Amino acid sequence: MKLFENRLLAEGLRALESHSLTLLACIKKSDEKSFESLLIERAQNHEKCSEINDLFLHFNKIIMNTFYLLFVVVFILGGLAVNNVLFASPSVSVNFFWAFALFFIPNIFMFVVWLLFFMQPQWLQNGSLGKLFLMLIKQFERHFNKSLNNHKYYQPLFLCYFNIHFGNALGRYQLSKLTHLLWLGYFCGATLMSIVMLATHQVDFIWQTSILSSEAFQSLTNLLAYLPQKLSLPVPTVEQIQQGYFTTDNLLEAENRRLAWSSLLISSLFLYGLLPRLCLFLLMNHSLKNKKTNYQIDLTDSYYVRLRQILKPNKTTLGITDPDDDLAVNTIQRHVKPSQPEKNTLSDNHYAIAIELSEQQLDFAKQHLTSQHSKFVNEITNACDHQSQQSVIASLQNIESHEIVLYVSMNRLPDRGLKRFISELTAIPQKEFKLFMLVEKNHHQQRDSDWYQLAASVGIMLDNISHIEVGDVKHD
Amino acid sequence: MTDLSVAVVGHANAGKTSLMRTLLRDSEFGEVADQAGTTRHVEGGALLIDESKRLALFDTPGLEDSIALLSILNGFFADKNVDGIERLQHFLTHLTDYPDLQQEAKVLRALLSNDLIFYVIDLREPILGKYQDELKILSYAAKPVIPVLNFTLLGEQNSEAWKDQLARLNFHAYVSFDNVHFKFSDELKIYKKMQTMLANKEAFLEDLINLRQQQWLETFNSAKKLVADLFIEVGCARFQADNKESIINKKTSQLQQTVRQAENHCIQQLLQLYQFRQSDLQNIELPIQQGIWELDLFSSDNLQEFGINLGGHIAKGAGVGVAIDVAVGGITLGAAALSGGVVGALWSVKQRYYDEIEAKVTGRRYLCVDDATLQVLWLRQLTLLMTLQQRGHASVNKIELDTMAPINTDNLPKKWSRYLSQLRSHPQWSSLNNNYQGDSNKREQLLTQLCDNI
Repeated sequence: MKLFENRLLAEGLRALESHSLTLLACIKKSDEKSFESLLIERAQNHEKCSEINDLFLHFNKIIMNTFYLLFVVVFILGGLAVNNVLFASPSVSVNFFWAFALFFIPNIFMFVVWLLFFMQPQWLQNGSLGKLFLMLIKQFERHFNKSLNNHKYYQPLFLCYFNIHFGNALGRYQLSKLTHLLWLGYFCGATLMSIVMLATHQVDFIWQTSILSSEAFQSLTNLLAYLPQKLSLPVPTVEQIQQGYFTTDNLLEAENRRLAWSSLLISSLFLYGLLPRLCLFLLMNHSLKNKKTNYQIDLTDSYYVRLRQILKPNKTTLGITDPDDDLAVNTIQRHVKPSQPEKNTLSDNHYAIAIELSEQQLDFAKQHLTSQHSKFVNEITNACDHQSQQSVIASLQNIESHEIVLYVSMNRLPDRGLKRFISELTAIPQKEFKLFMLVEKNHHQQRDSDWYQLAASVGIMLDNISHIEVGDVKHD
Repeated sequence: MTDLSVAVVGHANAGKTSLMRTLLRDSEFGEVADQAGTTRHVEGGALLIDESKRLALFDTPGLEDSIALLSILNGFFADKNVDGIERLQHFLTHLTDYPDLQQEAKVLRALLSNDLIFYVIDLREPILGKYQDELKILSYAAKPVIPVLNFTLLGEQNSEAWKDQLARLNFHAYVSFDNVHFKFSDELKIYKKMQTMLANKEAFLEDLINLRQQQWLETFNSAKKLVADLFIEVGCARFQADNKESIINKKTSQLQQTVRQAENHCIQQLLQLYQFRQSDLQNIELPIQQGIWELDLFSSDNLQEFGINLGGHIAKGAGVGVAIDVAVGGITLGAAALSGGVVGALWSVKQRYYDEIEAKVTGRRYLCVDDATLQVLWLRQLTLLMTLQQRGHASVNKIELDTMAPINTDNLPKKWSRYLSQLRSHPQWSSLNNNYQGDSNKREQLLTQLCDNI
């Protein structure tokens, strides 16, 4: 039961926090504990824990007291009913089967109704019942318990408590327990009053019929008397049953008959009314306890899903395992590009190199060279691997051209590999390098800055950098 | 703790940290920028399977100069037939000779110390020599490699060429995984691919797949409940106002504010569920229109609801009355049953129509959110939900809810009108109203039906 109370506490916290956007962990996270354990631990450590607990204990007390009160009320009603049925008139002559029917037909009818609701728990609508109950209790507490009545969490916690105890999971057992308790009270009152009244009053039992045969009544009486007879309780004999229809004047027989019929009435109330209801009450009580023990929090609720991410995240950080010791040295210095790059034209004595261009970009570089009347249009090399890089470096060392034109794509990331290669080129003496950056429509400003930084670091003059708009050429 | 460790490697700016963020559902992991050398450490994160198992992922710096590195590696043991792994180890032992390749060394150490390698490819890039060299270096590590094709949408035109190239280098087990346009099925494909490559970890990865699926489904179901709950809350909301223009305007403004708050609240919860930041969303207000709902006593829905409730309450009242009749031995001659029935009927009328009738008598009106606004609200939440489902945690663009999305009835639940009538008939279902009655079975049923429509 302790577990149920803890879960109830967690549910109470949910009722208060489910609309809250900031859920705090409140406890130390642990990989070893299950989420539900963490949830319960969090609820126990939460600042609102004691308030929730106090209110739940209070609700429990109220509901238990209401049950007891109702029990007492129906107990009295049971006693009153016996008084009215058996001893309403001074010349007491009780129609046994009419009395039996008055007690048992509603009992059987209500039993069927209960069974239907028990089998179909979705028929139970607890919303308005809860609201009604809340209204009644608040009215009561307004007069007798003002401090709790004004508690800010009273309403949400009551609805939470009520929904759990009278909702789908536990509701049918709780209501069943109440139903059987009330009928138990009714039969207790009726049986006790019957014993008292029959002990102090003289009553003649008769049975009457207009349309049924007397054999039918005799069979019914025998049927009713079967169990009491097995328990060695006095029951009417066949003659006494017949005498119930044709009354006799023999005093001794009359006394025996009264005793037998009284015994049958009391044992019927006990065996067919009180005992089954007692058994059902105990069964429901036991089932309710089981259900409470096995009560599961709906962890798929969005509140719990969000809380799980905080209390038991499905990921963890492993930290930095191989740190960069030179971070401070390597901090990238941003280079500001000139607002308007100079337009560069090519001299006659130039040599062109493409660096890591796609086929489309290479075609565009060739078009550009053609527009500049370059004789190297067909000799441009795209340096995009180790072999071509080495080939370009070797040829550059042998050619006489003074002006070297480098075509690069602005979209290409200026990484250390490119920087190394271009710096190897610019390290060749007596050459002047021009950098033509092919700019596509959706280029990043960030890349612009990175390329200028690279150019500066490999010794390409700012004036020697040009942008060429690629137009509609798509990204690679 | 049983670990399966994965090194996430690739060229600079290929999306390694983004992949980590998306798999870990952590927008704060590492640093992402459109430049080389953003990640300079090897940094790890882990997906926890249970108390004893986890999948460790290690983000590495970009391989920026693979051409030089491969050239150096191939230069070792020139006259001997030596495996790649020995070349890598030789390089690492003589690292001081290559100060410019410190970042590459970190990658190599990660390659050697982890069980599996994710090689992230930016599909927008053409196949360049440096990428081919990177793949050759990876093959030296003698570890299973899964090429992860990133930016699949933007780099679609290079996709086939890359796949051909990967096949030529014997990398057949690639997966497509767009960090920006996220698909959960692609994430599962990664784990399944890992299963095929690591036979001894099949059960481990099966557990991971099941857990990730369960968590994904759990998140989606919770999100659906949030959306459906918001719809019920707003659909049932109604504010009473005196029939004066100034008061109606004031109440309308209150209603709009309340609904906006409710929507905002739902959105924030959705963002939390999917582990995004509140700042990931562009702030847009719901264009709420004034809706005036008046009591229609002759509406079939109202009549049906009335009939059902009336019958139920009469039966309950009469039942109580019969019990009293019986309990007192019939001396009330059935009067209690009759009275109970009448009281039950009156209670039913009071429960359902008291407020409306009182409003009619006193000349007051009810304000509620109109149908068009509710449709916009529903569609916006659906759009947001679908966006969150397909958003990677590496996305830097803000989520924008298209307020001008045309209201297409195809996207609305088929029984929209029926749901709406049901909501209008149950103001007690909304916590935005004063007479909120908490959860009821009928509300739960409607919530389930709405969830099924998402």
